[in-house]
Parts: sequence; structure tokens; C-alpha cells
Amino acid sequence: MQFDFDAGKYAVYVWPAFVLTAVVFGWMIADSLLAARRWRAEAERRQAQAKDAGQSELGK
Amino acid sequence: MGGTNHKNPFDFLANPERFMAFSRWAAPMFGAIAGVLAVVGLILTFTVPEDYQQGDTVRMMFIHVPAAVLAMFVYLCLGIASFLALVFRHALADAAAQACAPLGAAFTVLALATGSLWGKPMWGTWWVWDARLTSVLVLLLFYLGYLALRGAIDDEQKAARAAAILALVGVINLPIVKFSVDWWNSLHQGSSTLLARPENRLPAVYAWPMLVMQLSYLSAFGSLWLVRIRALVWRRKARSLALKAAEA
Repeated sequence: MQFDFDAGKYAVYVWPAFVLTAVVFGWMIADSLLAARRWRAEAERRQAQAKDAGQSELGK
Repeated sequence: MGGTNHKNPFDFLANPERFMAFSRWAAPMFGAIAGVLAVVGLILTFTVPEDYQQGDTVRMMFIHVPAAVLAMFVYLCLGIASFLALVFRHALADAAAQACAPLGAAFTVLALATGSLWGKPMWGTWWVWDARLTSVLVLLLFYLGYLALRGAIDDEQKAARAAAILALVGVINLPIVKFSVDWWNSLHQGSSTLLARPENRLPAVYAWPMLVMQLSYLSAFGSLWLVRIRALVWRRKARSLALKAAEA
């Protein structure tokens, strides 16, 4: 098995295609994970607030 | 049905708690499978011999074809999820539709861009108004239209309904994309994957990297789709709690 990274005269087309694919996948992964992280934190924060509000209502 | 709670396969979609429990392990599992397959696929991509006609540009096929297949497959998922949301009002179907649209748009951009980069050295042009290329561009416009419509209407339910109708209209474009190379004279080649006629099929040396990369893209989509649906479930929960707090 031998790697062939020399695309010769086609390198100017081949490598941008692979770089673009990596960039788009990077965006898809980052955007998905960041959105999930952000909304999970927000939901947990809201839930904690609701719980605190419920406890303070009971304490009255 | 013998004490089970599953009346039909779609019940699974209708229960957010069951979905969250499933996706918690399924999303990283699909992600790991996608990563391993991508490594194997890239090793195969850069070890196959040059094609006698295409030279080294044949390596672009292993990232272009899976992107094009996913562009169509994701739209099919968008259509099915939109149908379920519109007709059966399953709780998670709308989230599934909303979650897959940006991914489908990204795969379509990749298919068009990598195809263009392959077309310049092989066809002598970046773009032609050919049936296949044009129908894929229309597919991208449907994705962008779906996303724009969802973003443009403030009422989430109205936005979901309007976008679902648009998504269903766009499903008509899928057979046009698929069969455009058979129905019209096209510069784009016909199908040469495992499902193609034997005389048109790729030789095994190219079919393997194609298959492995295809499965990698599919697993990556599966993983990211689940992650995005989870994000939307949390977002809805956060908004619902905010609304309750405001009412209290």
C-alpha cells in the first residue's frame, strides 16, 4: 500500500475540494455541538430557576 | 400487541424522553463509526491508482458522490419528517425536519462545489446549465427556501407548517435529480455505483473507497442529525420554561 498525494497538474482542483469538504464538515460538527451545548445549558438554567421559584413559593 | 407500548415505528418519534435516551448513546456511536470509516475511506482514496482518463481527479469522486447522494437522502428525510409533522403532528417530527435542513444544504453545497472543481479540468468548464447540475441547484434553493421561511415567520407553528408544505413540494425535485441523466442528454455521467448496470459499474478498486466514504457520510449525518434534534428539544424546553416563568 502506497500513498499518492501528488495530484500533479490536477492538484489545484483536487486539494481545494478536500479542504472545502473538511471546512464544511468542521462547520457542521461545530455548529451542531455548540447549539446542543447552548440550549442544554439554557434549559438546565431555566429548570433550576423554576425549581428555586417553586421552593421559595413553598417557603412563604 | 403483547404488552408493548410501541404501536407503530413512528411512536418512537412521538416521545421526546425516549428519543433523548436513545440519542444520548446513538449520536456519539454514529459519530465514532463515521470517524473510523472516514479514516479508512481516506486511506483507500489516496492509495487507489490514478484513473486512465481522469488521472488524479478520480479521488474527488470519493468526496463528491457521497455528498450528492446525501444531498438527496437528507431531503427525503426532510420530506418524510415534514409529512409526519404536518399530517400526524408528531412531537419530534418537526424538530427532525428543522434539524436536517442545514445539514442537507451543506451537503448540497459540497456536491455542487466539488463537482464544479472536478468539472473544470474534465469538462473544461466550472458550470453548465445541464439537467443534473440545474436540478441539484434547485435542490439547494429548496433547502435555502425552507430555512428562510422558518426564519422569516415569528410564530413557530405557522413557520413549521409553511416550511413543511414547501419541503413537500420540493420532494417532486428528487426523482428529477436522480433520473435527469436518463431523461435528458446530459454532460453528467449516469449512475456507476453498485446499483448501476454491470457494464456501467465502477471497478472494485474504486467501488470500495466510494462505499466506505458513502457509509462514513451517512453515519456522520446520522450523528449530527440526532445532535441537532437534541438541541431543538432542549431549546423548546428552555422556551417553555421561560414562558411559564413569565406567566407566573
